[in-house]
Amino acid sequence: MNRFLPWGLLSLVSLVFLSVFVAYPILGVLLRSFLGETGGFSLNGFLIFLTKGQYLEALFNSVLLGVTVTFTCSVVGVFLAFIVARYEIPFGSIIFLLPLSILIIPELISAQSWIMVLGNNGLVTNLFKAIGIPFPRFYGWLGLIYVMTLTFYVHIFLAALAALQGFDHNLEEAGLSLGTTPLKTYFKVVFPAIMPAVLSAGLIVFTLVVGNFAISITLGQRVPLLSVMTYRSFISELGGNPTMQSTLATVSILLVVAVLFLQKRYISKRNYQMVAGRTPPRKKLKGWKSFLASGGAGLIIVLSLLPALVVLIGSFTYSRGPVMYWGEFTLSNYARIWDFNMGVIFNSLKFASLASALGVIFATLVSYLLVKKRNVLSTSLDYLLLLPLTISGTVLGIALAHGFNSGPLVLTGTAGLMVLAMMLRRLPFGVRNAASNLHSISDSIEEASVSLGVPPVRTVFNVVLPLMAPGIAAAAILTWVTTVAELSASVVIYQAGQETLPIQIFRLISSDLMARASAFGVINMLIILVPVFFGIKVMKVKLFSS
Amino acid sequence: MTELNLKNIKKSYGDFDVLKDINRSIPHGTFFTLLGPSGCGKTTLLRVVAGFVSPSSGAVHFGQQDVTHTAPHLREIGMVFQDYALFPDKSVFDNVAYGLRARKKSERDIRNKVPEYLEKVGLEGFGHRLPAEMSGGQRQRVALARALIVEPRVLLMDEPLSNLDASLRVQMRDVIRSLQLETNTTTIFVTHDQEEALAMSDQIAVMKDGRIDQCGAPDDVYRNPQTAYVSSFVGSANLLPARYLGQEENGIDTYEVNGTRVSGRTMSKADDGRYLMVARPENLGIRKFSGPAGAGELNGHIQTLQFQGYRTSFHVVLENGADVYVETFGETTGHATARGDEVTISFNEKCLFVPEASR
Amino acid sequence: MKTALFRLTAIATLLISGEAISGDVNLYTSNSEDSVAMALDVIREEAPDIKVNVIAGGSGSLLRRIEAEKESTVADLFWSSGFSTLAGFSNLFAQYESPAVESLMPALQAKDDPWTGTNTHVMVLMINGDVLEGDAPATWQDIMNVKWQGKVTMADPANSSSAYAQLYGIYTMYGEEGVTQLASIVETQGSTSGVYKAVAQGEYPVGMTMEYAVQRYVAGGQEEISLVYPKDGTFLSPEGLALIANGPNPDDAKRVYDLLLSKRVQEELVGLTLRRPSRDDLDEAIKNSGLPLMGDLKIIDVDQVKAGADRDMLLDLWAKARG
Repeated sequence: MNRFLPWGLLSLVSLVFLSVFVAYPILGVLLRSFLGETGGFSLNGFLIFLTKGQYLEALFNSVLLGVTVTFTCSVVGVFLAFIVARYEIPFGSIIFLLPLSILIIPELISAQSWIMVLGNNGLVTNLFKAIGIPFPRFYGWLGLIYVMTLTFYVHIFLAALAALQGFDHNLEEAGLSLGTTPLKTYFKVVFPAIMPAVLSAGLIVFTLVVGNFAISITLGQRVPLLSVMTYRSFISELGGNPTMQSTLATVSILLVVAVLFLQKRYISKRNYQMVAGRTPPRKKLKGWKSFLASGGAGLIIVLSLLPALVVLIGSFTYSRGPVMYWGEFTLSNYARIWDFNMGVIFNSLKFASLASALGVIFATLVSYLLVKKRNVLSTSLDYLLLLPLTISGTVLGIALAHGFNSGPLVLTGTAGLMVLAMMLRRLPFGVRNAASNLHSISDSIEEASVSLGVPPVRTVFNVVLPLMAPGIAAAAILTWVTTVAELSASVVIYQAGQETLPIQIFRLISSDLMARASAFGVINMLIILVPVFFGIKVMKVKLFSS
Repeated sequence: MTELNLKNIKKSYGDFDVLKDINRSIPHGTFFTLLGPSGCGKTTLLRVVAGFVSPSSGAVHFGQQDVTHTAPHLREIGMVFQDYALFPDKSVFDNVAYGLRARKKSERDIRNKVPEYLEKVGLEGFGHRLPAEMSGGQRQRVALARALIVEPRVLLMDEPLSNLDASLRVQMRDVIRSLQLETNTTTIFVTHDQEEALAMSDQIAVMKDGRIDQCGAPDDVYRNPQTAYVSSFVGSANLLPARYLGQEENGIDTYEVNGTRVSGRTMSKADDGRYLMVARPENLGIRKFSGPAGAGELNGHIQTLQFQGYRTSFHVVLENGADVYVETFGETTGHATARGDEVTISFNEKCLFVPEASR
Repeated sequence: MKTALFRLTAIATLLISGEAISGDVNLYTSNSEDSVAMALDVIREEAPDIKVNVIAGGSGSLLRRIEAEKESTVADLFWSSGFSTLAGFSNLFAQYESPAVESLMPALQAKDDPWTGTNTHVMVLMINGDVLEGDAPATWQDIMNVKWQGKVTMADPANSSSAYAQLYGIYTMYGEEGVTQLASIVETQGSTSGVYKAVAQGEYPVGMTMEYAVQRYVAGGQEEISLVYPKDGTFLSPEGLALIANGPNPDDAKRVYDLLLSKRVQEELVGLTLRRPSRDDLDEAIKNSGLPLMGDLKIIDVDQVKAGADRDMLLDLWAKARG
């Protein structure tokens, strides 16, 4: 029956693509962790994990860090959301910059800038030293928690804000009318109601922290962490142990799967819908309360945006080798890039634009197939699309590098693999965006076009794509932003000549060359910012609608 | 000339039969309504005709042409949807011109024809607007113009009026029917609103559980329902259990209803001998109680009554507790007019009898 | 099939990098881009007919890439990596006796190996005066005293080749006992760079690292940083360059090879990178860069071949001692 064509064929192609480039490499990692050195089945890897070295400690640290940062992010995010939702504060309109800040400031750069501010040689640290107050050691737990909180709280802020704005104020008044004090009402009525939203955002934060590479490796020197250890096992100067790499990768996959499983159970258990109610009016605060609320919110905002500023200043700061001379300005950091490293910029542009274009096309196609043309393959596609969510960038990089270094399809070392890695990391989100976009387009619109004599495929181009265009533009920009900042997967698989901006920044930070790293950081932010700015201002794209 | 033929159409999803052997021939130019509650298969049947659903077996013919395996876009149909399905990013003009462009008509033709059709639906001068800038009724007019402008062989309408408010709905019936007559387009119209069906159609097919229960002209379906289901779905009807007594000398069937004898037509035979009497409210007589009920009469009291100007509706509870609804028109003098009044209901030869199993 | 694929991959990488074209010299290098630019300037002047295409990257990934391209070699020269790392890839290289070899220090001539020393790391102690209490250690033996416990850091010898060189040096001088003792004193960092960063940032007063890494901070003007060349002797970790076997343009590659070992290039490089050159006629330049002369250091001779052979044994010993 030719009705199978072309949608069935496209579904099949997508399924094959995801099987080859997602399922197969990940499966390979899982299987290899059960291989001994001789090739037979062995639990040696897990035995070593449980008994030797710092592996178990690293797992414990990662979980502890995840829980801690999730907690601190929840406190900061809910507090800020509450202030923004309920009170008029002087600079309320600047809040809209917040979600942008996590986009335009790659986490690597925020780690870098906080080292420049609070590290042992940092601006603030030296200031404290100068007046004789010892400043606590920033590397390790303090730095990790601090920088990760500032990087990830936005997820919880956005979720809590949405929940608070959708919260029916009548409930709150009902609570008050029953005689509980306002504070008690918040704790008894308001917080339990926004809890589901906060918790599911919290679980996202948890997985981000556990899988995080950039901040972990730059700040976690004395704290063994699973993600860093996984990376090191792969990248070791002296050639790593493949079983151990796979074992570590498997453990981190299992950790995330366990978390996702918990999330599923939790959400299915308390799936009550919030009745969209009356949004409460924003109150004006007076006196010390106003100072506290706007001061607190202002501080969070300033701290969120500060890294961009620090990196900007750092990039113009004179340095000799690793030593920075704050207050002495120079253009030499940029001149060096101009002289030697334009290739790095072109690499970033090339890889990110290819990955974004392919990613968006693929996400649009697959979401269309999943939403509008469901068939027997759709369920498998759904599940395959979940897979990239269970793995961190590092594990994805390892999986791809191992999966395609031999056999019929050799990609290891090619630029294609870089593009693929960048594209796959963002794919589940791209599909989700595009799908939510498609759900709002009625099926009858397509049928109307077909009934008027336009064939189905042309109908998609004539009618569906124009309606998806704003969503596609938003997805393209978000994909661009994340791929330009992608580090954890690409740093595992890149080859000589394939350095991207984040890889270069990472290498320079590793060699303690902060001023030069900053110049690359500024260029990285500019490359991210330009399309975001263009999209929002010129094309009026709504980035955060879905 | 497009005569539409549906031959032995069946459609099942797994074990569930949505359409069970639909056979119907629809002459050219007919306004053919599929009437039924949701889930009866009427929309599926429409989509089979459109080609969006392929039947499990059976065939669809447009005139001489078997289109069963023809893709929808090649069937030369026009379709109007419940949610209008206008292209929101295109102007009214471009929406209406869409089908013409698909047919590679010249821009000059399009510039002539689109305003002509916009005028037909009473939207002259609205070409530059976007759908979002128009009311629901206006949008449905655009959708109608868009479907008709391609001069479809068959016009398919899927509950096109159900998103509109009551007064607009009545107004749009007129617009649709007169355009259909003017263009003489064979039309299939899906609705669950019997009033709409009665008011607009040449033929009504009352559907139930994937079958056409009865098909005919509106007055025929209304006056001669073959089944209890049709009688109660098309118009309202009092259904009272009846027992067949036999034929009178003049050949008229006689039944026992609540202990009284009533004569009337038998629409179809019940195998088990159990019947229901179908009595339209306006076919019943009502008068003040004046002694024991005679043949074809039952006593009761008025539970409620509603005066609605040209007519009055009564809810009467019979002595055995059964509910009966009666309507009278015009002059009400001589009728009982107060709640609680004892009344006598009289049945006449307009009462019909249908098998109880056809409910 | 496999050959075709390799060729395809090679062509693909060529297309993507758009650089390596046969007839020119394709230089695979792990040196910093300013070092490379400086060397290119000299080559352009001394051998204007040669066009050098640079493929830059980490030495591990470059060597693996050369290995992957073996079926249709693109690289002509590899510059540079530690001798012990090169030894693992020696089948990729072609023997070449450069006339410049005679001007090198004997320890870096590597006459029996298919590579030549370009420079050498010297293992030193990095000191951060701000967080140092009391006197700085002067010898390796000093830091094995329990009073330094938790105050000395080194890289994980399983991950870092320079840390392994340090460990092997200690092993040569003080045997298994020394290794066990050291293991109970030091805290390890995940990577080589972690050590000098941690000391520069004041996390530890003492770090075991390489000379050039500390000299960067000293030359940069970070006053609290100083370095100690242990008096009980220190060890070299030489680095070398190699000619790639079956490279597309061996004749010109050899000329570039000679130039990279030339006095002029090495003279300028030491000023730029603070890495000790392999030539023994550069005392002036070394002094100008602020480095002590080789003759003033006590060098313990370490057998690099044996170091490689003992690796598993020593790392095992280390791991056991670390617990």
